[in-house]
Amino acid sequence: MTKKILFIDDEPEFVRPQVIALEDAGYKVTLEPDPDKAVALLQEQDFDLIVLDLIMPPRREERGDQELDFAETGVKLHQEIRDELGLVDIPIIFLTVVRDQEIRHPIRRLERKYGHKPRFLTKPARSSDVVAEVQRTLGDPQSAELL
Amino acid sequence: MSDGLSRFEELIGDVEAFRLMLDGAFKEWMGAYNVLLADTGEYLFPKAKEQEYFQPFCRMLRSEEEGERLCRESNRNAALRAAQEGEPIAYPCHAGLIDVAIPILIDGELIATVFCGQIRPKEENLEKEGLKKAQQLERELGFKAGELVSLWKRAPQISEDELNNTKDKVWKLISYISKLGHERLELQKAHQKDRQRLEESEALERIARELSGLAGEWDEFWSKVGLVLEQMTEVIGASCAMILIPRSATDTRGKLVVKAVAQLPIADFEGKLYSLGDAILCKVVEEGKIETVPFREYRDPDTICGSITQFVPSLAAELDEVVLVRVGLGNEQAGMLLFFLNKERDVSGSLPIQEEKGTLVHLASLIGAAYHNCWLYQERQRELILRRGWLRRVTHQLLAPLHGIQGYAEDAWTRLRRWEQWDLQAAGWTEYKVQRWKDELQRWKHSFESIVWSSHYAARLANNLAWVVYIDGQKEKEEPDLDLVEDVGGLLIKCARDFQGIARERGLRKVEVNTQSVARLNGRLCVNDDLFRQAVGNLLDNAVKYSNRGTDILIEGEIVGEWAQIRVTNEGIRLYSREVERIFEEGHRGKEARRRHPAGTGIGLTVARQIIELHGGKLTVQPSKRTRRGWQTTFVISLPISTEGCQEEI
Repeated sequence: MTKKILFIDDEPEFVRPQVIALEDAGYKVTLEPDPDKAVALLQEQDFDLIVLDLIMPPRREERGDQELDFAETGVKLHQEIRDELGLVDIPIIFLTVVRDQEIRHPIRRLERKYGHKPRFLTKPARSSDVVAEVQRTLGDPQSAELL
Repeated sequence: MSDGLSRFEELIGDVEAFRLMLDGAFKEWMGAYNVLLADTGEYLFPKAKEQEYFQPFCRMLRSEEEGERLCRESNRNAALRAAQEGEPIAYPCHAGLIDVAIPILIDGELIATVFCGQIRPKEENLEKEGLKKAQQLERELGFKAGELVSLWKRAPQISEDELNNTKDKVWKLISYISKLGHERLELQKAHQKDRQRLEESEALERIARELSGLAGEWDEFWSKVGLVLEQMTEVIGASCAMILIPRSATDTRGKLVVKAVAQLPIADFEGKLYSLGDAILCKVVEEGKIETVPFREYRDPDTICGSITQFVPSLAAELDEVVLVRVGLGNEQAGMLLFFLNKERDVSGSLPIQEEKGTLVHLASLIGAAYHNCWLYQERQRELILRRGWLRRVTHQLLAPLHGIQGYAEDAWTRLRRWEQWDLQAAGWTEYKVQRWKDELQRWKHSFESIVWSSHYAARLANNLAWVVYIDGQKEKEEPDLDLVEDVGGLLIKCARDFQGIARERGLRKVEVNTQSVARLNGRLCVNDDLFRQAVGNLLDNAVKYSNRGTDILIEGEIVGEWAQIRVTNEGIRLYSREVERIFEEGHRGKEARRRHPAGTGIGLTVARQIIELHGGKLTVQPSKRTRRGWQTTFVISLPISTEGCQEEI
């Protein structure tokens, strides 16, 4: 049965190649740039894996005058997926330009709390590396190394 | 007493010489004598020698505890009377003998009293009265009948004239000794004053030094100013307060006022000037009526300074001086310093008032300068934070599209590779046409491959820039999250992969990972994947840029003692011994490197070293060695071998 991946990134134009590479590798990928809609999708459907960006526009309820911190939306979305939606088993791969330890550290802590190995891929990442990480995470056979 | 000496010993000095002098005088004129010290209440000459200094009658009387107590009490009373009179007095003692008390007064202070006499009065009435006292003591203290009285009767007897004559002579001698003591006291005072002034000037110098080097965080400034004010209070004997005037209550500096006011050492002025939590300066206009002056009502520093200036004189009744110094901040007034010189402060040995004021003004100007420095520092920090935020956004904005560029190029390359698999001859293409098509595909693949490594190159620059911004903003170095590397070869091959294309373009043969040697490091290295790849990438970038054509870049691994080493070797330009440390300095580029690539950034090796050091390791390089193909240079990454996992699992 085809495994389903939810790819959450507000800049679809830059991650489309990874989506294509994952589809070529046999996955069914839903690319969702809107974090609110992503949450709705997670409530409605079952996914086998999430690829999550960290820097994203604020959620609907947070679109006020107050400026959000750098990666606040992504970090909060991660917490919501794990703590509020209760999706504690689904593996998440963080595909992001954010390398700041102070942002990554709490994410790692939360992932470990639910028994997951924290999985970060830093942009720019090769599509082949993204596919390999997804396959490794889902326990699927590794396809040949690309470029 | 100081250093175990009595005041007498301090001021008169050589007790033995004094004793010899008195012996000479009294043995001739009177016989027995002793000296009662004012501060200890003890006799100067010890009991062992009392035979020499008391008549036999006195010795027997003092042998009884009660007799000793009565004698001492009689001496003490006489000493006080003589001190009050300011001259020797002759008096009948409690035991019926005539004694003389000669005070040793130095600058009005009673140091000791010399007692001499212990003689029987010659006048008949006085003698009868004296005998009666001796008989009464003999009975009351339980002596055998006649035992004490017989000794009393043997006490020497001199006339009033002889007594007065002797008293005058001794008084002259004691006066001379007192004068010597006075001079010694003056010397001591002068010495003490000198020492105090020296200590003061040393303390003030220390304060000045502390202030002159001050330029940093506000917390540091306020704690230093607090200390300085405390020291100044101690040194000058003035109560000091610094009041900072904000531009407005909402200004960030408005918050500082609360701190400043909270630091007022106002204990001496309680009820007259004090602060409330909400940055309010209060004064008591009359008893029970408090007038408050909220700082926030004053937007204009001149107004508030004026208000304080008006208010301060109301303290004048309690104060000797109020010194008010304005603290400037460029062309603006930043605040003012108030120094309250309390009337009751101890001025003995202190600086003269004019000098004090001069010192206060000087120190106030130093505080003002320190304030100015801190303010400039804060402004710079604010600018830095803004610039850092901006640079962080810029680098992230650069990296996201680079991710896209790389992805699209990779996607195109993958599709071209699939096209290569097509059997075109089966589709009826001629061999010539197929070859042309394959040549074309190769060129396209090469172009897309070049886009991939070019985007990687740009991403590395952006990441180095982001790192410099990041590390610059760190107050304390934060340890990165580390993971155990099970496949070091795989990780290094990934690092090398990004450089194969550019290496070929530059005429190098390849970037080779000696997988057999690096496999020794498997499971023994803890690294942060991103940072490690960035550091190795910077070394490879350096190697690719400065290698000679036709050479290889080699990556090897080795265990050396407690270190896991990764060596990156290339052959190309020479690294001189004088450059081996300097090339890690930010912005520094070697002479040969500048010649070959004038446009380098000079941060790659700096970043690489910082990253490796953040992992608890070292990045070193040795001067180049001559080889057949050029100069061989090896950079060595040494990381501590992991024995107990990477970090505590949270």
